[in-house]
Amino acid sequence: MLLNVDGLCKSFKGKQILNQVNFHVDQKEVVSLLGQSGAGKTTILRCVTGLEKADRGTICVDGKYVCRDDGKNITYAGKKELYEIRRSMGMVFQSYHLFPHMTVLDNVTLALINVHKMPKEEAVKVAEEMLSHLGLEDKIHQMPYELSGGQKQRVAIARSCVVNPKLLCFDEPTAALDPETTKEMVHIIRELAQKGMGILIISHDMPFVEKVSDRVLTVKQGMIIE
Amino acid sequence: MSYIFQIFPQILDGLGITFGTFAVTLVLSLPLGALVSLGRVSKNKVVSGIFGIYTWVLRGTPLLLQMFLIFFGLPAIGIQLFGRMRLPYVYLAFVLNYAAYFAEIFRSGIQSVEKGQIEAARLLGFTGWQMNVKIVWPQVIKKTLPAIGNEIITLVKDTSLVYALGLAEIFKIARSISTRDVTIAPYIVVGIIYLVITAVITKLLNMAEKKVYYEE
Repeated sequence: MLLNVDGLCKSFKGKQILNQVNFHVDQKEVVSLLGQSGAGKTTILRCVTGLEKADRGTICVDGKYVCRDDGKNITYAGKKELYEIRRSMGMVFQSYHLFPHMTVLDNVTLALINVHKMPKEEAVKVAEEMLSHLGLEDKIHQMPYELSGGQKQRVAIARSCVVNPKLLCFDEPTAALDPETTKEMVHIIRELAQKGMGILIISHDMPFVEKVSDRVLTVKQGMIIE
Repeated sequence: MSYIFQIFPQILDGLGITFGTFAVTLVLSLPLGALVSLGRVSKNKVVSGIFGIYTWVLRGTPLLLQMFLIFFGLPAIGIQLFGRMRLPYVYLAFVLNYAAYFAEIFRSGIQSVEKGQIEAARLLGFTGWQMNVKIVWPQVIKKTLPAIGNEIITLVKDTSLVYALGLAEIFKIARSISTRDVTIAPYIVVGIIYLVITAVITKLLNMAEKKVYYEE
């Protein structure tokens, strides 16, 4: 199992957002969490990525624990462990969060060069391959503001995928896309899964998740209803 | 006209102190301001509080007062930092004062960087230092350059304050000549010199702004 979430609970200011959330994602599998806004989907994703601390529950990514609950106490991954865990996961944000002061190529190579210590020439080669595979070969030297929403998203995908994560998370990937680009997104995500990645998608777009996913789980009032 | 040519070299003698104060202040207060701004945005409340008080005091009192307190006050309580030299006290006051202004400008710049970008960088595995160098500060510089430029122009003119400590910068020399010859011509000359300096700096700042510009 690539990602296992067990008994995840989270509240904000006394309000219970997540209540005993359990699910898992395997390698080569696309799992979608479907639900209305406010159902707690994004909080699940933020807990999985360690951006938010769970109150209770165990989250295990590729054998390493983001948090571990033994029934009495919960222990969290330290800074170093979290750093290691994050090397095996990627995330594509709803509003992409590209770095606006860098070209598309620099956005994609930045982590390769600085975090994964790949020589620059090699990083550029890897990034160029990834970007042309996503149909962005002619956008490599453009700035983020020059791109459409769909193109920005593909850059964000390239930025996350170029470091070869085992688990890739998408937060509302179709929220800003037209139907044609949404179709493309289905194709891109299926292809990533075929290559061996486990994929977790948060969405409220039912037709999209039905097309793209191996399993769809519904989130309602902080609980998962299969 | 010949009178102006006659006093011009005398006034220019003061440019060394004017430029010196300007350059030393700029070179030291920008990095110090950057450090203070990082303290201001620190999650540690004690740290951000201390730096908050620093900027409040330094921005809340006149530079002239700070200069006097540092120049007369420190030796009075037995702190002899620079012996009988006057310029280093001036530099110290200017650097501490301008760092506070720059810090507040940088702070607003840091806080305007999208939180999501920081989260994206964290998930990509960047350390805090890498994030600052590669992602936050390039954007801070772009966003704050116009405001920083404004302060730099103010700094050029503020250098005239050092005359209060008897240092012969261009304004003090102009004042002496004016008193000696009973004419306002030296003030006009010195005004033109300030205008020329600020025009050059404005041009340089515009070029810098163009260089770091990108749309968002």
